[in-house]
Amino acid sequence: MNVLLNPLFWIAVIAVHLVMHVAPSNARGLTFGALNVIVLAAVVGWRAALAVSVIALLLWAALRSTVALRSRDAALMVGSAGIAAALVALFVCYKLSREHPQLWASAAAGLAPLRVDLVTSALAAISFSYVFLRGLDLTMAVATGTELLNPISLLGYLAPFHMLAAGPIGSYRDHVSSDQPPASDASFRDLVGNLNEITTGLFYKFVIAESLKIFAYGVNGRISAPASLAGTMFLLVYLFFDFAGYSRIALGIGRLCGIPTPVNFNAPLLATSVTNFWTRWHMSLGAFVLRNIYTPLQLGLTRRLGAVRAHWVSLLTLLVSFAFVGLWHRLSLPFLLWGLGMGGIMFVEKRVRDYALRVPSFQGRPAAVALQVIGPVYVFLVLSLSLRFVMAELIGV
Amino acid sequence: MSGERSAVDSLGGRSLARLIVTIVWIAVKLILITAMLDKDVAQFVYAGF
Repeated sequence: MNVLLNPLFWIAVIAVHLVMHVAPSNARGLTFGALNVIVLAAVVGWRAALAVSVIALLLWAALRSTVALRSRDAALMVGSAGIAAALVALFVCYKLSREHPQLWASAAAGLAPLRVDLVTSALAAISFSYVFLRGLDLTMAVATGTELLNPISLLGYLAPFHMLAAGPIGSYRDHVSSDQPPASDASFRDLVGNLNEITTGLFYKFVIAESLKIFAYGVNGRISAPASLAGTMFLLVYLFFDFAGYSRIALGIGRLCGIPTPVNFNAPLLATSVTNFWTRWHMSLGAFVLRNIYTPLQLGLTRRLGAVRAHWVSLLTLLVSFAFVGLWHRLSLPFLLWGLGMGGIMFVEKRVRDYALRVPSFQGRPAAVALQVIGPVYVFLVLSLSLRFVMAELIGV
Repeated sequence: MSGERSAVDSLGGRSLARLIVTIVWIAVKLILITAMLDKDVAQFVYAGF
């Protein structure tokens, strides 16, 4: 059952809001972490709560040991890399178990007595793909000097109950700030604003997306791969309202409870380029990639290779970043190629933009107006075609 | 002075009106969401399509 249709979930939202309202401002992170694990146990089950607790405790212990090495840079780097590698290994096992069950069954045959199936089902209950990214963000942030919170506060960062369904991916540095007093006291207007955000999300999900689904597949129909490009475009609009709906609900609940929750969508279907689209769709994933992959890789490569090879560095960082995005969605060759394709398109767009900036006739108002009109059509077409490429993988799993 | 006060009052009034509109809009959305969760309404919507 969808977690949003569980009355316990909404009772928990009200309870957490009330408790967070009276919680001391210097212990908000701790309070939310403790409440979060109780809500997870009540709404998703004790196995999910246990899985998050074990992950939080292990990560905290590993990071605590690594932080102790801070005086030695190389040791700190090796320790952090080791934690990141362990997270990646766990993520790969999790993805194999969910997306390639036959391959996983043969690979994990020797581990049967350990009841690995129970572990993977508990990881699925907490949407481990998102927990994995938050774990990586936490590791990178702590390695670069951000304060390490206690294990209970980490419970509220790694798998917050309001971001369980479909993210978004909060930044660890932002989460650390939840222990600071809010800028102003919550007013009735804030409450109405947050309720407006939550109901808009529910409206996107259960009215608009559901109507689109009923229109295309019937009342109890399942989403299937569209035969035509028009059908794929329709599915893209459905995916937007479904996903953006979840994100707005999470944003409203996060604000209601005083927990930093990032904005995840900003009218992506009005984007004027694919590059612009990825700053408006699943923005928290884009911000994660920018923080933890794109920027460090670009800086490192530029230092090694010099500014002369800036174009090649830019291409390589885009390819690596979007290959990661593709494989994060599905551990498969089509999604790897999809990610590389997106990186390639963005590189070409960057070159075109650089060229256009040098040509005076592209600087005027007519060119800007033309871009506003043609851009969204081009983006919609490219995204729909790319969606068709991975459709079998997306619908089949 | 009276001009300034009237501008402030008008701003406050507009802000209150916006708040009331938002509350009404929340209520409308909640009614529509509840209706769509009912299978009979969903069937009705499908028949409409």
